[in-house]
Amino acid sequence: MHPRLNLPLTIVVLCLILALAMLLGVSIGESDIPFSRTMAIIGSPLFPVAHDWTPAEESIILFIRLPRVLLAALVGASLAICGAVLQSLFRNPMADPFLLGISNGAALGASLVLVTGLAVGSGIFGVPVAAFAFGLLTIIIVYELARVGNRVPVTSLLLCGIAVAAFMSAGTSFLLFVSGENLHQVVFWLLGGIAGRGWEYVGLLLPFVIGGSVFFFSLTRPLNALMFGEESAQYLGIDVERLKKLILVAISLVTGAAVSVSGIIGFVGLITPHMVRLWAGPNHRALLPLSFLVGAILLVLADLTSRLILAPNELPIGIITALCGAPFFAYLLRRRNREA
Amino acid sequence: MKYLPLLFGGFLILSILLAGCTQEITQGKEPRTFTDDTGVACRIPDHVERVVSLAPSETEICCAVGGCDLVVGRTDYCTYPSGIERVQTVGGPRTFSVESVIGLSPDLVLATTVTDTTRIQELRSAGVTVVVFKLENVDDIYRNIQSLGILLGTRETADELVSTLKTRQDEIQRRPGGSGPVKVLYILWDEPLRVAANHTFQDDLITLAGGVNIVGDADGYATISEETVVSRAPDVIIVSREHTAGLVRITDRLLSKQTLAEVPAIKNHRVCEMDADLVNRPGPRVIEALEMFSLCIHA
Repeated sequence: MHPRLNLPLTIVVLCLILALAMLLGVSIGESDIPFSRTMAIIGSPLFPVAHDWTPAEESIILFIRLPRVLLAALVGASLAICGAVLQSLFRNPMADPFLLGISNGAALGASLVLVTGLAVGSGIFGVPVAAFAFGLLTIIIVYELARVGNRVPVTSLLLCGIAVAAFMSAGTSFLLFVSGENLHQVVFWLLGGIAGRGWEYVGLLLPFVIGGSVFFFSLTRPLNALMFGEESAQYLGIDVERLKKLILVAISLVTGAAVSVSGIIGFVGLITPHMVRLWAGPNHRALLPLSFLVGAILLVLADLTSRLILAPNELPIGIITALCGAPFFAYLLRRRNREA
Repeated sequence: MKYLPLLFGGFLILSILLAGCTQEITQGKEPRTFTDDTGVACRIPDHVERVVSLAPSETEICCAVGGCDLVVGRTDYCTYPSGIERVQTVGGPRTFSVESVIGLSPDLVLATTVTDTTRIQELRSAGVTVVVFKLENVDDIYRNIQSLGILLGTRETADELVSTLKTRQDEIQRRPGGSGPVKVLYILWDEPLRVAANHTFQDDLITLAGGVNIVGDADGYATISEETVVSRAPDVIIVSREHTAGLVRITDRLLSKQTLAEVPAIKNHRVCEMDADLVNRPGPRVIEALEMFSLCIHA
């Protein structure tokens, strides 16, 4: 951690920014609802306020914008924190939550359901459930392929990840090719989007995010030790193989849940930890909570942009995150290189 | 000036290359030229005998003007009129095999602006005549029917068909509408919400049937948010029912969505489900679709 950084203060400031971003997300949209009325609608379930709004406005705020903004925050936070943990585990700056093929597997699962029209048999959760299951299946395959006895070398994990991911992508591409009329849905899912996801999706993701984050926050010390290499960590008394296994399980569950509700939203999981590291240093005590908050802020803002920029058209959020994320990331890297 | 022959030769080669649609002149007759909707001038042989259709709508129009016997190739999606299944298929509208098309040695290939352009280019380079139609509204369809009548030599049948269709259109449009404009939304798919906006054939049907498309300010087939639906409050929602994915019931999902509960169309159960083949294909059955739109909007 940078000696200058006041961690509690930073966290408080970021929480305020997140609250502000979410407020913006809830109060801005296609229909013009005055800010005061928005606030009254949000407050109405908790406080007694005079009802001076239409039922349509209430459903826009409470059932469309609010769950959507919360979902954006949750997805952003989980992708960012998973990215931070994976980058440390692999000691590889290229690592992101989708590294081991979770997203490719999830995409295959989702496309299968979308293309074959199975979605109805399994209700509205057909796509997320299939995506989640295929994401986990992918990780299990990668893990088993990479395992050498009791150990899982990082290099073979990465390479097996690439192989399995390529296989899964080929499956998705094939489905895209034969899907014909359902092509649009699959493409939209692949580009990521949290449009039209209601409270039930928030409920679906929330336990994973809370459980995963608490678990990751408890790993601050081992993760810090891991930065000196697996061997050194071993000497510091850490059961590296067990740690790896636990982290992989947690990452799969959290990322799998995030991907299953939002499709593939690239770049947040990759650049958020880097941004935070450039500014707060590599200590996980700061890195993990700050990545969590920054990821949430970024995705809430990206979601807001995605629905405003071409209104009433809705842009896939993945386009926004990559379009804004890539140049900003390049700028940060250039600045760091100049300072070095 | 010694480059003049070279220049001339170059021009010659260029003009041969550019004349992708050129067919061999048969029996010394002057071949006809037809400019298609994309502005390409195509040479059409005097007697068209073998037609390959690369779009369901073109297959339907071809048959409706009396050219069903000429169709020697179709796409997987060309399923109407019945009996057309016996014709060999060349693949999907965007994924068809160029070789299969050439192998059928057609003297005319019918395509639309939806057809894969790379493949059209490939066919033209191979010397096949490809005519491309744009079908964004009902008038385009009438024009397409008349053009095919000319191309296939069944002009009278085509003109008759168009006048019958126009008469029926007039009848439908003359019906007294209700009071005030009816706000309509045409939904192709619900997750994400994919709707027909401006410059689509469904938008034209909504307008002709006396409705107002609530997403007329967007272009083509647009993806919108549920908020747009709630705030623009359509009185009527029209969805298409897929044959292929018969399991999918978009209507049920729309009706059960908490987010859309306040939309007048949902609240009053004014969601019309229509046969996708009928309402998504800009073919000669368009007036049947218009009839259904009209009945739905003025119910």
